[in-house]
Amino acid sequence: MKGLIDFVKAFDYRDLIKGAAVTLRHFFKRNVTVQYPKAKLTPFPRFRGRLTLLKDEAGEDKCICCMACVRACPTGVISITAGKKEGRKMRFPEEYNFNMDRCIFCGMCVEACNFDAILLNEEYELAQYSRQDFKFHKEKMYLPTPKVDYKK
Amino acid sequence: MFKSEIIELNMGPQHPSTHGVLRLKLKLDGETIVDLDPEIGYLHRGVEKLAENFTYLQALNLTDRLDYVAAVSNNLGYIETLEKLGGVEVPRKAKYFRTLMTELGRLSSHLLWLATHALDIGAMTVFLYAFREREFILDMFEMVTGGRLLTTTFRYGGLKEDIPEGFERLVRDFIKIFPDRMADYEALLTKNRIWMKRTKQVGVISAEDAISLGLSGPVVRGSGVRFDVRKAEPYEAYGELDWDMAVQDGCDTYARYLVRLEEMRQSLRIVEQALDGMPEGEFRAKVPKVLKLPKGEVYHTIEAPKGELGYYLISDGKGTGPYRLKVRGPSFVNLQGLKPMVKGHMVADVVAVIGTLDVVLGEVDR
Repeated sequence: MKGLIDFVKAFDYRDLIKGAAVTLRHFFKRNVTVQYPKAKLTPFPRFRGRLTLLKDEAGEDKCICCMACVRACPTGVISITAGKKEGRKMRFPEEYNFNMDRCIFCGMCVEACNFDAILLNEEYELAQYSRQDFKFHKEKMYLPTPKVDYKK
Repeated sequence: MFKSEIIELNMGPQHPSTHGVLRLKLKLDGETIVDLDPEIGYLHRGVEKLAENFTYLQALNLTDRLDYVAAVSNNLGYIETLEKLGGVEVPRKAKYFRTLMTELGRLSSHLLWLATHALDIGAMTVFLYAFREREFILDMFEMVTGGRLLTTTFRYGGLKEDIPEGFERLVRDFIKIFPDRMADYEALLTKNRIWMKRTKQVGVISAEDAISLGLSGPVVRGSGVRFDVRKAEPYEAYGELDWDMAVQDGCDTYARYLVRLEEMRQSLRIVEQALDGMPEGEFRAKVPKVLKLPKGEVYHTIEAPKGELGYYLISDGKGTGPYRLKVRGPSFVNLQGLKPMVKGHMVADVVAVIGTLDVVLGEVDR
């Protein structure tokens, strides 16, 4: 008798129809995906992208080489050589080297900076073909990441 | 006439259903599992040792990488451990916001669990739907912390930055849409005959066994044990909010599925209440810029999405970093339940049981 009831119950497809109704309903909904290389999303303002050096209104470096970022970095990717310049009371970064190879984008350096001299920008396409391109020197730090023409 | 022998089968470490680099040595009699040996350590990075060379703030980055699908909970546990030793009073606004963020983290972790668990068992559709909602939550994380997965959020004494503008609207949108989406998942799975056949009476573990193995979180609550750190020792704002513990008596995979679904509903309740009751005021207590903690030892646990997450910290009172940090990862302990759960089942059920334990190998291997 139990076997008969189970057999009849096996034809009760309500559970599957309910599930199929959900998928069917979604068929007419708007897409949520973005076709990435053609369309791009903008990150939120706090997004942690590549490290950049900032300049003040006069075009001078805001950095005064207090080495707070160097000490705060967990992976040790920043190294600074301080220099003196005529007409500037504070030291300025003669060399500011940033090795993106090992950067974990945690933002500890920006948090440690007392002079708002560095920033993690909103770039997220950071891939490069050569390992050397991940080593950022002072001049490269101000510029956006060079665009890579992807080989097919 | 016929010779029969037990064969050994390696599952993993590159098996897609082991959710990472878990290697299982299965001993099979036909297709029935006689014995099983989990082999771990493929993702060992020495997080606890690394923490000794870091400052307290830098070591926060390591906690992100334990259970990387619920980084917010790991951050919270670590920061609370520091605060317990340092004895700092956290502002109420920070407490409420931390509660909100942690519950969003729990939702995102459970959504990922639901997605991959269903995918392992064979329901592809839920995977796509759950990831859509998870993306919504990750957007909120990005808005608040700047990171989507490795959030590195919260600081000693409160929050890193104030709550961003527009965050409340985003959460309200999410609260509005999420119950409908939950109904979709349930329509696809809860009464589905294939789902029930694959999960009911699979991976059974009694309450006694679960407790004696030290399992925690939804795994132990699926066996009818009423234990949740958020209720037992309320931290942050959990004591002030109105929510229920999710418990089921089934002891099997299906019961744990129901527990996690109910937890998602309760998490949404907590999020809504925390947002409504968000107090005004300071978001961070007055703390020195370079953190130094007094000499001492402290142990603190919180309820992470996977279970009871504990940090044991020793400070020598001199340095600016932990002298020793020990992590009690819930995934590591919950993995011990795998052997009693799958013994006597088929090979295909191993996948379902790994899914129901919800292990993340970053936390197992540390």
